Amino acid sequence: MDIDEEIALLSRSRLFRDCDADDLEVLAYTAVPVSFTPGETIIHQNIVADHAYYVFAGQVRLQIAGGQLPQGFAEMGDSLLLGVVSAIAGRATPWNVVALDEVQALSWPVEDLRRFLLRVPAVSVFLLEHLTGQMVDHMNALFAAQAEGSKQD
Amino acid sequence: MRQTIFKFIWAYSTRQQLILLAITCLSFPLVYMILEVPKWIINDAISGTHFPKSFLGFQFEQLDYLFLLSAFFMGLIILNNAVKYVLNVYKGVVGERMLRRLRYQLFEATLRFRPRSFRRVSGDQLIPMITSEVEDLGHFFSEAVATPAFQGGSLVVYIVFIFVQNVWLGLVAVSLYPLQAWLIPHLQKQVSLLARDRVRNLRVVADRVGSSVSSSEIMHASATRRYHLADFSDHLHENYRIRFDIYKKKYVIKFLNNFLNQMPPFIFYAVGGYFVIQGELTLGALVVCISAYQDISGPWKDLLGYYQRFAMADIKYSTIIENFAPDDRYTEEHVASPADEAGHKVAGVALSVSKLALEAGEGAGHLSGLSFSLPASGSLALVGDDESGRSQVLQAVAGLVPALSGSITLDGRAITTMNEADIGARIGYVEPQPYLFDASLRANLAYTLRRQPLGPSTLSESEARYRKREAALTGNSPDEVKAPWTDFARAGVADRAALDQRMVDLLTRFGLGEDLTRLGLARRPNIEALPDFAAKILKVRAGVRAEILGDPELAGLVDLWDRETINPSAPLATNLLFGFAPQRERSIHVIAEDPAIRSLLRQEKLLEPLLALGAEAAGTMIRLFIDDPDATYSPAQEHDIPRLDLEAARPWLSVFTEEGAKDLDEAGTTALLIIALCLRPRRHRMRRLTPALLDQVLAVRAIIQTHWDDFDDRYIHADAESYIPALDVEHNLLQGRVRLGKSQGRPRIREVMHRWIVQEGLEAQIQRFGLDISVGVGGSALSAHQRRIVALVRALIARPPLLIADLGDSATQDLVTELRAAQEGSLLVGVAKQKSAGALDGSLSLKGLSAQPTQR
Repeated sequence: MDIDEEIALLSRSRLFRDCDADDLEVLAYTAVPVSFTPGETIIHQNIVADHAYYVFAGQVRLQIAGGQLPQGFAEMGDSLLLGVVSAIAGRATPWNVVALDEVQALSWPVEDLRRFLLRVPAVSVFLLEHLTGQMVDHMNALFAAQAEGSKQD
Repeated sequence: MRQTIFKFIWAYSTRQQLILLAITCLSFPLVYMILEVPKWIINDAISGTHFPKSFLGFQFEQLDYLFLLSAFFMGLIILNNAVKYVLNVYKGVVGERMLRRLRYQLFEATLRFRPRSFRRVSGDQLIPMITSEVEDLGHFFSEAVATPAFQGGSLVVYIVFIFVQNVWLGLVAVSLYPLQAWLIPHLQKQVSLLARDRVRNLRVVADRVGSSVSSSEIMHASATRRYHLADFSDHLHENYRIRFDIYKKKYVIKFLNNFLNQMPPFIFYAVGGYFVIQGELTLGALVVCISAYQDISGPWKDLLGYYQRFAMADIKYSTIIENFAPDDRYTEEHVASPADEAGHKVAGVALSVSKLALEAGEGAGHLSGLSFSLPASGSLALVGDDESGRSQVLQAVAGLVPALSGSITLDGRAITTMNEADIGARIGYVEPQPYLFDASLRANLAYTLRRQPLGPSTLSESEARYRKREAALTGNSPDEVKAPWTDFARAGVADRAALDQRMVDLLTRFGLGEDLTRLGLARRPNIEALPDFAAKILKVRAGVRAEILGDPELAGLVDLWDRETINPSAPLATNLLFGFAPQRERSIHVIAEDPAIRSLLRQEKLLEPLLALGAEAAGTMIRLFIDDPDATYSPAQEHDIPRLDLEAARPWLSVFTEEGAKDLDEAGTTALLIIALCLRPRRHRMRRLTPALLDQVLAVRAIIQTHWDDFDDRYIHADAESYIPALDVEHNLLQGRVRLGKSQGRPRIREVMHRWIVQEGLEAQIQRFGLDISVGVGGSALSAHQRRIVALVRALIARPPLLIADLGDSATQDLVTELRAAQEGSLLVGVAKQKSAGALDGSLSLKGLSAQPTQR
C-alpha cells in the first residue's frame, strides 16, 4: 500500500473524519503498515502498549490469560484503533489482542499518536465519545449478565 | 570575601599594582624623549650649522649626525613599544589572575552554602554572577592604581605649570573642578544604582530561562507557553526601562562634562584677553596657558572616565558578593579541615540523638523532643510523611542543617564538634531527590570515592608545575583534577575492573541489572582491549539467529541481513553497500560523499532517481514536521533523518523540479543524497521509493559486491563473519534490525538475546559497558526510579559506616530489605509508611510535630 492509498484509507474512517489533508498526511507518514498472521498476538496483556494500531482489514479477538471475558466483549470488527487506552493512560492492557485471521493495520509509536491527539483535539473527543460509549455498553452487558445469573439462582 | 573592590585589589595584588605603576612611570621619560628628539633632528641635524657635532666623545658631520639621531629616534620608538607591550601583557595577566581569584572565591563560597540557602538564591542566578558579571571587572583590576596615578600625576604637573605662569589663570583653570567633583559622582551614583537594578533584573531573566527549560514538560502539558512569554516579556520591559533611564542620566553626565570643560577656555579668552590688553599679562603667557589647559583636558577626561568605571565596577562587585555570604554558611574550618582519622571503619557507627529540636520545614513548625539511638551495625526507620520533619531530622544527622537544640553524637562525639571531612568519613547520605552529574554512569557512581587526589598528576612535569604556580598565585586549589582521585580502598576493591564489577553487582542487586544490560547492548565498545569478546559475540549471534528463524512469530519481528534482498528496516545507504561505514558518527555522510560510490550511482543511472527521492523526502518532512506551526517534530524521525540534514537540503528543494535538477551543485547533490540514503523503506513510504528503484539499488549492490576489494579499505561487509565495531553490541548480536511497527518487538528479541548472553557468560561484560552511558543533565537520561537507585549505589559504593537514606514514598519493603542486606555498617532510613520499614531492627514514628517512639 502506497502513501496515497493510506491517506485515502484514513480519510474514509469515521475516526479521522475531522482531519484536514495535512493532518492525514502527518498521520500517514508517521505510520508503519504491519500485518499479523492468524493467532499472532498484536497487543500483549499486562504490558503498557508501545504501539497503537488502526486495523483496516481482518478480525481480532480479546483474550485473557487464565480467564474469560464476558459475553459480547471479545469479538471485534475492523476499523478499530487498538492500544489507544494504554497509549493515553500509560496503563498496562488487561488482555491480549490476538489476530483471528490475516490482519492489516497501520502502526504508530504511542508517543507519536499522543502528539497527534494533541494536534487534532476533534479526534481526541471522538475517541472519548467512542470509548465512553463502549464502556457503558460493556457495563450494561455485565449488569445484565449478573441480573440473569441472580434470576436463575 | 573583601567588602569593596579596592579592598579586594589591595589585598591580593599590591605588588602587581606597584609593578604596573613602575612600568607606567618608566614610560614617561621615553615619551618625553620621543617628543624631544625630533626637535633635535630638525633644529640641530637638518637646520644646524656648527659641524662636526660631538656626541658621547665622538665627532659627527651633518649627514652622520642626522642618521645617528634618526637611529636613536627609531630605537626610542622600539623601546617605547616594547615597554607598552610588556605593560599591556602584564595588565592582562594581572586582570586575568584577579578575575580567576574572584571566580574561585565565589565558587568556593557557593560550596560553603548550606543546602537550604539555595531556597533563597537559585543556581540559575549564581551562574551569570560567576561567569559573565565578573568579566567586566577584569579590565578594572589592571588599571585600578596605574591609571589614576598616571593621569592624576600628569594633571598636577599641568596645573602647577599654569599656576607658575599666572595664579589667576591657574584658579580659572581649576575653578570648575570642585563643581564637577561634586556633581559627577552625584549623578554617577544614580547611574550605578540603575546598573545594579539592571544586573538584578537580568539575573531574574536568567532564572526565568532556567525555570522555563526545567519546566518544559509541565509547560507543554499545561499549554502555559503564553504565560511564560508574557512573564519573560515583562522582565525584558523592565530591563528596557532601566536601560532607558541609564541612557538619559549617562548622557546628561556627558553633556555636563563637555559643557564644563569648555567653560575655562571661554574665561581664558575673555579674562586673559582683558589682562593682556591691560598689560598685566603677556600674550605669550596667555597662549602658553591656553595650550597647557588643552593638555589638561586629556588627563582630566581620563580621570573622570576612570571614576565612572570605578563606580560601576564597585557597585557590580558589591552586587555580586552580597549573594555569596549568607549568615548560616559553613565556616572555612568546617569544610576545609582534614578528617580526624585516615581510615574509616566499615563495621558501623553508633548514633545517638537526644532531645533534638529543629525546623520541620516551610510552614510545618518545629519538631522537638526527639530522642533515639542506633547501635553500630543497627538499623532504624524514621517513619513520617513529608510534613513530619523526617527529611530535616535525617539532614541534621548528616550535618546538613543545624539543630535548634538537643544533641547528635556519632560514636559519642557531638556532630557540632566535627568538620565536614570527619562527618563524611562516618556517614553516607542519600537525598530524597537525587542529583546526578552530567557524566557517565560510572563517574556518578564513583563520585563518593573522590575526596582527595591519591597520586601525581598525569600531566607532564613542566605543565603540572606551571599549573601549580598559577594556582598558588591566584589562591586557587592546588589539587590537580587530572590526578587519580578514585579511592579503590574505600570501596574495598583493588582496581578499576573490580570497582566496575562492584558497581554492576550493586545495581543488579537493586533491580537495575536488566537496564544495565540493555544500556550495554546499545554501546559500541572498544573491543581491541577485549580479545575474546568478539569471538563470543559471534558464537551468540549464531544461536540467536537460529532461534529467531526457528520461530515464525519471532522471525516476523526482525529483518535480518540477506545478500539478495532489501532490508526494509535499514537505511538505503546500508542496503546499497550491504555494508557499513566504520565511523560512529555521520556514517551516511561518509557514504554519500564517497566519490567512488557517487560515480557508480551516476554510471548506473541511479543518482538522479535518488536525488529526486531525497528532494521529495526532505520537502515532505520539512513541510509536515518543521514548517507546520502545529508540528512537533518526532524524535523517532529525528533519529532517522537529523533535522540539521533536512535544513541543509532545504535550499536545494526549489532548484529541483519534476524534470530533474537544475543548477544543482556539489553541495546540493550531497545534501539531497544524504536524505535519500537515510530513508528506510518500511518507515519512509515516499512516492518515489518504488519497487523499481529498490531493484536498482540491489543491482548497484551486486556491482559493489563484485568489486568489494575496491571498498574494503573503507567499509565493513554486512555478512562478514566478524564483529563490526561500527555497530553497537545489539546489532552485532542480531546481524539485522528489529522490524518497525510491531508491539513488543524489541523487548521480545532482547529476551532471546539475553538468554544467550547469560548462557555464554557475557552478561557481566555487557553490563560493564552500560556503565559508560552518559546520564544526561541532572540524570535526565534515566528514569526517576533509576536515579534513586543510582544515588543509593553511589552512597553504598563507599561503604559508609552509617548510611542515611531519605527514601520517602519511594521506599518499598523489598528495597529497604535489600538496602539492609547491602549496607555493612549501621543504617538509618527515612520512609513515608510503616510497612516499608519491615526488615529493619526498629522504627520510629514522627507523628505530627512530636516524635512518638515505637521501638520494637
